[in-house]
Amino acid sequence: MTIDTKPAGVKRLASVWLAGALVLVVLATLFDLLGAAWPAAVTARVPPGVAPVAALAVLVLIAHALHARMPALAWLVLPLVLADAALAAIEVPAHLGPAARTATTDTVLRVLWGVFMLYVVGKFLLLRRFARRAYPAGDRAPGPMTPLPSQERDLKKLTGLVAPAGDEAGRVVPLRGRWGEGKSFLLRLLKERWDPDPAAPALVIVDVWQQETETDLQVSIIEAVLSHPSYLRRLRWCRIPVSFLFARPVAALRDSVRGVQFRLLESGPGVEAELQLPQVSWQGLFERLTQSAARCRTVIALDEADRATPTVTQAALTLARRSADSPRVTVLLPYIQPLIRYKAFNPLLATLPDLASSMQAVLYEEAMASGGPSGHPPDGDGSILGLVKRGAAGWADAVAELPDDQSRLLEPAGSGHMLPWFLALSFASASPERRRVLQARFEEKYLGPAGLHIAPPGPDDLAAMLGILVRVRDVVERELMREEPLTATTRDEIGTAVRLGLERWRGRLAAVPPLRVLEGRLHEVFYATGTPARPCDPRVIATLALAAYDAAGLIHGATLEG
Amino acid sequence: MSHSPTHPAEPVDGAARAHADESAQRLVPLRAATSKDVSTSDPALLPTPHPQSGQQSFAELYEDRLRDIWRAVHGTGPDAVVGVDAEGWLLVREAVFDAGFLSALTEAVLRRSMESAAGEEPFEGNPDAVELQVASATENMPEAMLERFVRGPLAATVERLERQNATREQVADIVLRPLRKVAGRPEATMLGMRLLGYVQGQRERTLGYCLTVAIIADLLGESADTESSYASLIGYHSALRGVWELLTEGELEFEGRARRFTATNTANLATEMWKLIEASPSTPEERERRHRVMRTLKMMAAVAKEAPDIEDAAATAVLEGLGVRAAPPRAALAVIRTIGIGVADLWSDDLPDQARLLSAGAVAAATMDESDRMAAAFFNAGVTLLQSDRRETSTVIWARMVLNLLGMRWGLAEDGTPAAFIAGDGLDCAVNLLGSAVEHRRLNRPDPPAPPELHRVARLVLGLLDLMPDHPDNRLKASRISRSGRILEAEPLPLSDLGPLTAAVDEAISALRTAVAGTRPEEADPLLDTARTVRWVFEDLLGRPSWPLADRVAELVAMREHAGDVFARGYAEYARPLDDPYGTGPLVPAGMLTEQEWAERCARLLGTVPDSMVRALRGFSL
Repeated sequence: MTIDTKPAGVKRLASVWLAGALVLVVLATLFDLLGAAWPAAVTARVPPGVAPVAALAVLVLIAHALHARMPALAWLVLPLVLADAALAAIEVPAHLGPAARTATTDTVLRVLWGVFMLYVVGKFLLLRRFARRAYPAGDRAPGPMTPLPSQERDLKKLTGLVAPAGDEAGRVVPLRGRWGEGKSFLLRLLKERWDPDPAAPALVIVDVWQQETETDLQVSIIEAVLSHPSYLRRLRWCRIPVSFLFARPVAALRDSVRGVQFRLLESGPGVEAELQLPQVSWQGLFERLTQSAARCRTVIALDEADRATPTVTQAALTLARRSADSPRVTVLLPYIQPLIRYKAFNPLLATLPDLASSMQAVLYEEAMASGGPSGHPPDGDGSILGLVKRGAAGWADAVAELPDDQSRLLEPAGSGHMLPWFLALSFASASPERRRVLQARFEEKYLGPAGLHIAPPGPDDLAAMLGILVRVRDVVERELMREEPLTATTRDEIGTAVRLGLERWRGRLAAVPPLRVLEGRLHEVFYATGTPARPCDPRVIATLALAAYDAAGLIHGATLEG
Repeated sequence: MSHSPTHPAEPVDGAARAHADESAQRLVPLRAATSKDVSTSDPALLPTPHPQSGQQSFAELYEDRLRDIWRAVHGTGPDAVVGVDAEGWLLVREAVFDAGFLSALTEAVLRRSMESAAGEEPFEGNPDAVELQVASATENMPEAMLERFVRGPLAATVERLERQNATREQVADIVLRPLRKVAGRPEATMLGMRLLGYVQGQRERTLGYCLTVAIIADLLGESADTESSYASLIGYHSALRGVWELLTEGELEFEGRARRFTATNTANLATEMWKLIEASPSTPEERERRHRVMRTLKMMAAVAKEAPDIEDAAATAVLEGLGVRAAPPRAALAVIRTIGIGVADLWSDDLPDQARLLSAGAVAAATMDESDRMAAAFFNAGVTLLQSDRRETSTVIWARMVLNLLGMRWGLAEDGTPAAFIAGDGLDCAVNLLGSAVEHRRLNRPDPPAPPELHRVARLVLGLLDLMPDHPDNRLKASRISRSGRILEAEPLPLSDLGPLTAAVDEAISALRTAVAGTRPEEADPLLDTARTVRWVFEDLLGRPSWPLADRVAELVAMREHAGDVFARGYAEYARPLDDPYGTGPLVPAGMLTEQEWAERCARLLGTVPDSMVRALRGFSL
């Protein structure tokens, strides 16, 4: 991860400062232990407590650089701070001079110092926690990514949508694509481009699926934000409130309480408990952090939200919507439409009150309106009572159709508010077309209309893949071209043949395949090729590529979202 | 629609494969079955099976698609290239097939078909892509899933394609895929009849359209009832009339696909007509009138039939082996194959001549990669001799034994496993072999006596009984074999594979020839050996050195130079009058229907043109 254009210089500087801090701490220790033995000239000029305080100041200044550049030595920071704190606690009261010292003032001063130092240690602990995520030990960064032509175009569009020039309003930008279409790749590419540029937005990628075991998604998101280098460097880490150190334990405690509440709800009638998922108590912190960000804008990408459990998916959407109310924050939401429609925009699976009530509002409007926005005709007399009667009748019919042991599946959960349940049943009984219209309306409320639909791989991409996919390129060079180096002319010939072939074939494609599927089929067909007696005609290589493209479309096109 | 250049062959006589799935049944011993039939031979000709569908298989469809992909890149198809490009095509083809795209596609479409909810369409793309996916799904779909597939995913797909103005021919090609799987079932036949009416709604007539109509006729012909035969015949006639019109209007050249289409479907039409002839009694005069039409149809088929893909020298050797002189030799084999496999009494009243024609047809079929038809043809040749006045003479019995042994030899070579052999036509030859052996034993002082090799074959055939599944078709055969075994005093020899039986059959053929002739010429090539054995049976054993039908063969071979004219002139009688929507058809000249009856049947079937197939598909049930 690159954060500076002069890493070597920063490393040297940090080393020098670390050594200086170490010297100061040693000096302070010696000063304390051997106080009387020091020459009077020294003791007169360097009052007690200055050395540890100076050492602490140095540690504060160099701590981030150490974590960023020399993670192997960063572990020294915390022991030094603790040693420093102990020395200062001993020395600072001494600094007051014998006249002012009493046992009481000593104690009070030491307690105050101790509290202050706990606060400081807390800050260092937070730095340590987030720096370890921001600057992982070892070089785990992959090589530079090579985008396909369509991905380059998508990236350009996405940049315009995510961070429009001169607009500081918060927003949610949906990033829609099929499975394997390269949504996550696009995010990583964006990060690779933005991270080294201090003027670019700070892009924080949160893998919601991985975070679903956490007790509070918002805490995970804030942690991810704080783990971005731009939120840590230049003493910005000092702004992190120490209270956040306890965010996880508090979230775990709240989760336990919620568990108890839920069991009470389940245990029988008469017990009321309000479920509030997720907790919003860190919203203020989130807003303060993002407003104070050094970069122009913070972009939070909630990746894999549609892979998580419905509850977590809904929580991610709710948080995305709330975050969009914060200026200078953009939430980027990659998703597969059928998945998100099932897990989040589905009144039958609604878990979170605000998402559920938003959908109910739409259903209510549909049911009551005489010709709603979807153009669906009114299905009753327009009164609430009529709606309830129809709902009750429909419910009774549905229950009657089921065997006794299954009819309880249709009982409304919780405290038995019937109207929401009837509305959910109206959704269940709607035709597929009407359900799609309703789900589009739910989506509108949570996802902004201006999003990016990832372009499927086109002729240029297919041509480019033959050069980008290392193993395919290897087969082409070693086997099909019989070890002849691929000249620029041959590459051009292959590319032209691929583009021409796919343009001609476009009308007969069953479906355009997702990128990952295409990649798999290309590997399969090129691995299966034999070795010709002489170097292949470029058009033969293009035919293999086109056959893989066609097969990928036939095999996987219809199984995924179109 | 793109069809394979290799159109399936015309129908031939041979055992019906209705119980082809027997091998999957539990193999239980079948012994001591009782029957009121006291004969040890089966005296009936094996029924004529309906031809295989003209529709390409999934793999053939996919290969065609791959050719089109090649064409999209290269500008020309792979057939048009030679040298390096030809190697390139093979490389592409092998890579794509080795990459497992076909099995992956099958797996994907089956999963989609199973997972798709009612009314949801699991297939995407244009009609070509849909046909490929449907072919992939249906070829591998268990029959139990078929009804749901047709009513749900297929109906939804057809609805979409009709909305998108796919041609009726394209829709029919797709709908036929699952129906072929249950061909012969009344539900499939009903839907096929509706489909035949549906395609009439398409104005554009092309060779592809006519082929689609012929494939529907194939489907209808799979049913055993007479009404289906009428429907199938009308379908073939409609298809052939369409091609005849295209040819006479100069819109089609009589070569390649058109020629193969004509050869196949005139023969198919003859087959359906034969079924109707067999189903209705007739006077000799009526029968001759019907035979005249049948001969015309078979003659058109024979002159249009594609020659076998073998060397001229090899073809000449086979012809010499059979004792036939005709040139060009490959064309002569095509003619013999066409007229020899089928109804032999069209060409001669003399039973040994008919039997020789059937035997020669069997040999000719082998040169065209149709050796699976040989056992049935030899069986029928044997049965034909059984009908002769001299059937109880030792030479005729001896000839029948040899012919049935030849049928067994090719049945054994073709079928591979005991279960397949039992389900195939080779077992019928075995039944009649033992039957003729019994008759030989009953002769007073037979000379020469039956060789011990024949006894060994009988013992091994008896061993097959332990492997025969309990099936109604098998009971009578088992009963005949058991009875023959008792008379021949043969004890069964246990059999686990066909190796010992194959060797015993070869030895028995050799022994039978040696017993009569004293010596037997060695011939390494089994087909040439079979051809020479056939010639020996008829010329030496039965004492008929001349074969008048050889002249008929030569005559037909000469006509092949003008095959287009032969079809144009020959079918004109059935295609005209042009202002009649259905033409005269073959049944009116054959005296089997009046003009009014013919017109009514055609109108009932072809005149009802549904707007859509969706409703019929949604109502499909098995």
